[in-house]
Amino acid sequence: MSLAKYHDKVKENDTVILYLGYDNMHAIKIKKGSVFQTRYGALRHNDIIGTTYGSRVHCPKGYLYILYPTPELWTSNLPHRTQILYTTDISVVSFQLDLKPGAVVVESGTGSASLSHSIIRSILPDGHLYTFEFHKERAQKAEEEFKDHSLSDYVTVTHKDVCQFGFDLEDVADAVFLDLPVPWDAIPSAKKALKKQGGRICSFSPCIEQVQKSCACFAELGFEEISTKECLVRNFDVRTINLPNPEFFSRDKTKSQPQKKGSRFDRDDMDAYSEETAENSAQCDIVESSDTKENTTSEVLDTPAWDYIGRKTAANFSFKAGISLGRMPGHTGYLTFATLYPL
Amino acid sequence: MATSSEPMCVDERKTSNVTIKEGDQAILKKGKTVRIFQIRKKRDIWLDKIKFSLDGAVGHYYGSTFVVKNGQMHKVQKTFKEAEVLGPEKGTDNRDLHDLDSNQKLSREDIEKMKKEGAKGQEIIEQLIENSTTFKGKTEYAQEKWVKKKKQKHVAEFTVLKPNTRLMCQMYHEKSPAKILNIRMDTLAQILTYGNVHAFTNVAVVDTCSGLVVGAVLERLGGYGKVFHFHPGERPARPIVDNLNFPQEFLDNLYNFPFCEINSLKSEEGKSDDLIDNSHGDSVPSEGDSLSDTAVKQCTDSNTETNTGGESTESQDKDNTDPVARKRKAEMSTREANKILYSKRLSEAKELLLKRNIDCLIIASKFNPTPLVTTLIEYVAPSRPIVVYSQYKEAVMDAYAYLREIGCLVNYRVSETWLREYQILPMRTHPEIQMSAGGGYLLTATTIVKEQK
Repeated sequence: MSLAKYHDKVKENDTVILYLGYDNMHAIKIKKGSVFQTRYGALRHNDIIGTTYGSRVHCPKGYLYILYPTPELWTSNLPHRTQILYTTDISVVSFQLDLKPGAVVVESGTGSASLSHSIIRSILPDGHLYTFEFHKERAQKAEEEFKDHSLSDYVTVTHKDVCQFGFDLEDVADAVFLDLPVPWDAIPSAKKALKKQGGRICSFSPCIEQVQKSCACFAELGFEEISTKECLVRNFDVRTINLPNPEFFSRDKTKSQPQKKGSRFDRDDMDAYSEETAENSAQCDIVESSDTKENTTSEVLDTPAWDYIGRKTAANFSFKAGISLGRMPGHTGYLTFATLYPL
Repeated sequence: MATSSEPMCVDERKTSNVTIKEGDQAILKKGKTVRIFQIRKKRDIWLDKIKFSLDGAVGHYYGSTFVVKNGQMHKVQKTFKEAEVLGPEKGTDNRDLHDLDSNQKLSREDIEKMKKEGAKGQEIIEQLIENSTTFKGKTEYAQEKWVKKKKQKHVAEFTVLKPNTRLMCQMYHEKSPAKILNIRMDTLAQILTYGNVHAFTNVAVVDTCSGLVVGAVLERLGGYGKVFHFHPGERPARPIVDNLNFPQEFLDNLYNFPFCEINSLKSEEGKSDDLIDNSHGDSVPSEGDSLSDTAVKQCTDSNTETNTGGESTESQDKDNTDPVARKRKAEMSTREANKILYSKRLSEAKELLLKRNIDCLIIASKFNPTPLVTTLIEYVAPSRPIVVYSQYKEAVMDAYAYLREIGCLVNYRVSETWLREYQILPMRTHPEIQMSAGGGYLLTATTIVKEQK
């Protein structure tokens, strides 16, 4: 199996991504005779071998999809040995380091090889990644994974502490990436590793103090266009929202209105309504806006032929919205980029 | 014509990238001013109110710095750092400082005189410092900031850079973001990564952003794999692809596909089985190649020679003696040749698309994305990413809603990214005062095998 080149059918020893639903995926390695337990029941590996990637596979209590392992899907599902870089940051790093086929990249530390997989994908077939990891087992695990994913030709894993001993590379790299607690210890050696014709460098650090020291080191060593950025992703949940129109009169209390089960507030209770905000309405939204049986009237208001943002009836204003609820990632790390120009 | 699967060897690629050559597109960067020019000898250009020729740049490494002297470029070492001109004297705060023009004793004429006499940037700055009544009273930080500002104003140094996607995106985003539909660099970065754009993939791109996305995709493909550029009108407008100066091998893999041909592509689906049987994998049949080459050669040859074979008319002799008629005939021949080539490329593109093995579909256009994505998704292989970009969340949500109805995708995500830059200086670290208000929205998803109903 190769993360490098798409192929159509699942083979033994492939790593595949099982897609069960939103936020529910697993990476598994295909082995004849193996069984993987899912919430839908047992999944026999033998049943998957030979199927086309993208196929639906049935389990006793449901079905799932077999997806091809792109570096992005791998990043979302790989076994963590360390904190990893996620696709948002990986994208910016790849872009800012000008990665493309033929590029030679130096990286430390390898960690869980999340970024490494992505780099290799971007620089193959004629580029190369030299990745350094000071933890012996992690270095070995990374090397195994690259082998499993048929990427060994494009990468060299070295077990080494580059902060103490340097990269021992000279005039080879188009780009260097550092994800180290003490990056300034490795920056001089990184500079040496870069090609004489110049190149790009990136240092990823969670803490601003580290960034300050790294920037001072870059400036000291003659790097230019030193720039620190931060990139965060915000996801949207697309839903149909119904905002009920408030009633500015009181209903006859002798007439009782049938309440829809699990729906919103009692219209008679103006106090309850006054606590409602648009957000609360969204929480108990009804998916299809045509579902307004409990209202006294669902006739469309005297609105223009084109409802400006959504659809209005006497009872509701309905529209599709992209909502960001709850929490979002607020910080991963600061990305500092710089250029080394030729003398 | 070289086959598309063989890009030039790695060594050639490396050396050709590194030095400035005549005919190259080059970026000239002076501080924040970034402009792109084509290097043509003995032709003057204007940059920051200075006129000069680009001859002096040829032969040097990209990334070299130059100054202009007497209309010519001269390579220099990088300029001094701010810290080198600062003396030991400094103030603590600005309570006694007044912002007056009379603070600086040197006049504009004095400075111009120094420049004409060939004074180096560092000397000018040192003179400005000496003639400033307030400089020594400024804090160390204020002094640094002041020197940086003077440097930008008076030191005419600039760097010559090789255009790449990052620089082109930055340039357009700063100057004419509307031309690239406000795609910010982090958004473009996500598009390329989530689309898994890399060597050996076939990518279909709907691009009305001056070719920024097509160019970025071509860069990531590195000559391996094909790009299908869907565009409105007859010819695609993609100046950024030209600026990126790709080798011909890359461009041979780029197919144009006008919107107006999409319906004919759909109607050819019935005949698609025949086409697949006749095709020879991804490469162009060689007989077809030489046919069109010969046709082009014949037509262009007729520009210079008398007509041979092919086009014999009764008035042939008369045409050959009349220069105006000959020119008109030559132009018509070239047009004919181009037409043949154009329709040949289009049939090739159709044949390839009908194989339904597109590895990535990217939509980044001013048009409503929904009809584009619901139509073009037919040609994408299963378990492949699609990426839809729009400046408007509503458009992305609409595409999402329609695709969900069709049911041909999983792993949906509607998102935007937020980008913030920082000023990192000792005791002066903070986010930049201004930041981008928005970089557009993305829908990403993965195709699946469409269940036969």
